[in-house]
Amino acid sequence: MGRLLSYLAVFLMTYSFYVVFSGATSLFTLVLGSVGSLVVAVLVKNLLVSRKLKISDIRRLAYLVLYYAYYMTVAEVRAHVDIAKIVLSRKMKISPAIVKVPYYVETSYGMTLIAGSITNTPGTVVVQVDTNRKHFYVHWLTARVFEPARAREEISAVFENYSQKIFG
Amino acid sequence: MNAREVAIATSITLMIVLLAYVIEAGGLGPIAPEKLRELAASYIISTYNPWNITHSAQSLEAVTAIVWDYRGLDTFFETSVLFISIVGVALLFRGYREKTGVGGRGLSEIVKTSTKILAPLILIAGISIAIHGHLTPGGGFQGGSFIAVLLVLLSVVFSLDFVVERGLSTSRLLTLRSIGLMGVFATSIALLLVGLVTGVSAYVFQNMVREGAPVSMPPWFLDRPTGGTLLFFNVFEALAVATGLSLAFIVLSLRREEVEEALERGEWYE
Repeated sequence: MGRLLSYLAVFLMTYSFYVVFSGATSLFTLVLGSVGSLVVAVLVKNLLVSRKLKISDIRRLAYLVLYYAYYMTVAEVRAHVDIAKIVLSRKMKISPAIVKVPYYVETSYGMTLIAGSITNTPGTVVVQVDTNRKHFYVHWLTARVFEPARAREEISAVFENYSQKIFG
Repeated sequence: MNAREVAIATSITLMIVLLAYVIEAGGLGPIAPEKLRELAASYIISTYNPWNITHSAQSLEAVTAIVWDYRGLDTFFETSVLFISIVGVALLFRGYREKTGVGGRGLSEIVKTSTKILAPLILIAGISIAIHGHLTPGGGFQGGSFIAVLLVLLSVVFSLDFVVERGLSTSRLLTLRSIGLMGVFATSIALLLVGLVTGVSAYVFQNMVREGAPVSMPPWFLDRPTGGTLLFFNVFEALAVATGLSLAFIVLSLRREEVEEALERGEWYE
C-alpha cells in the first residue's frame, strides 16, 4: 500500500506537469501522457521517495499549497519592496554580510525548500550549506544581527515553520 | 580610450549601419514571397488532408511529415549515421571498465535535491515533445536530446558513480539504443510485412493508404491524427537519441582510473 502510494504520488506529480507542459487536454494527449508518466514514475520512484507514504500525508500537500500562496504573495512582495526601496534611495543603506543561519528540519527536501525560499527572496542568498552541523551561510544585503539564532528569526523562521509541516 | 577600443566601436557601428542599409534597401529580398511555390503548396495540401487520406500523411506538422514520411529513407540513414558514430566513440575507448567508488562528491545537497525533483519533469517533457512531434514543433530527435540532458545533469550534480550504480552502464545504453534503431527499422517495413502476409501490395516506408496499396497505419488515435508511422518513428527515435547521446557523454567523461586499462590494451595492440 505504501509502495503503491509512492508510485501514485510520483505519477501524479509527473502527469500534472505533463498536462501543463503540453498545454493540451485532448484525449490523445491525456491517454498517451498517462502511459509516459507511468513509465517515468517506475523509473524515478526510488530516486525521489525513500520512506513509505501514508494517506494522511495529504495534509502536507495542503500545507504546501498554502505555503506557495503565502510565499508568492506576502513574502516575495515584502522582500521586493524592501530591496526596491534600497535600490531607488539616494543613499543606499546596506550592510552586506554573510551570516550563519541554523536549521532544524530532518529531511533534505525540507532543507532544500528553506534554502530555495531564502535565495528566491531578493536580499538574501544561501551561499553554502553544512549538512553535518545543519546550518546555512547566507549572504544578507541588510544584515542587522549576526547571532545565528536571531538571524534565523529574521531570515528563515517563517519558511522553516512551513517546511517543518510540509516535509518534516 | 585607446586605438583598440576605437576600432571595436567603429566596427560595431559600421555593422549596424550596413545591416540596416541592406535590410532597408531590400538586399535580403522579400521576407516571404507573396505566392506559395508549387512544391510548398503541395506539401501544405497533402500533409494533413482527412478528406483524402490517399494523398495525406495525417500529420499537422509539415516538417515532421517531410522528415519521416516524404523523405523517410533519408532520415533513416541519418539516424544510422549517428548510431555508427556513437559505436565509433565506444570503439575508440574499447577495453575500459566503468568503476564505482572512484569518487566525486558532486555539488551541494540543495542542488542534488532540486535535481532529483527535476528528473521526472525532464523525462516527461522529452516524452511529450516526442509524442506530439506530428502535432506541434518538435519530434523524436528534439525529445531525445531533451532527455539526454538528464544524464549530463545527474553526472555533474551527483557523479558518474551515481549514474553507473543506477544501472545506466554504457553497454545497457547501447542495447537500448539498438532497440530504438530496430524500432525505427521495424516501423519502416511494418506495412510491407502486413502486405506480404495478407497478399496485397505495399511499400517500404508506407504510411497511409496509397493507390494500389490498401494497407494503412491507423490514421487516428482517439481524437487526434497519429501521422501513422510518424508517431512510432518519433517515439523510437527519441529512445535512440536519448540513450545514444547519454552514452557518448559517459564515454567522453570517463575518469582516469577507468581508461587506464584501455590505454594499456591500446599499447599492447600497437
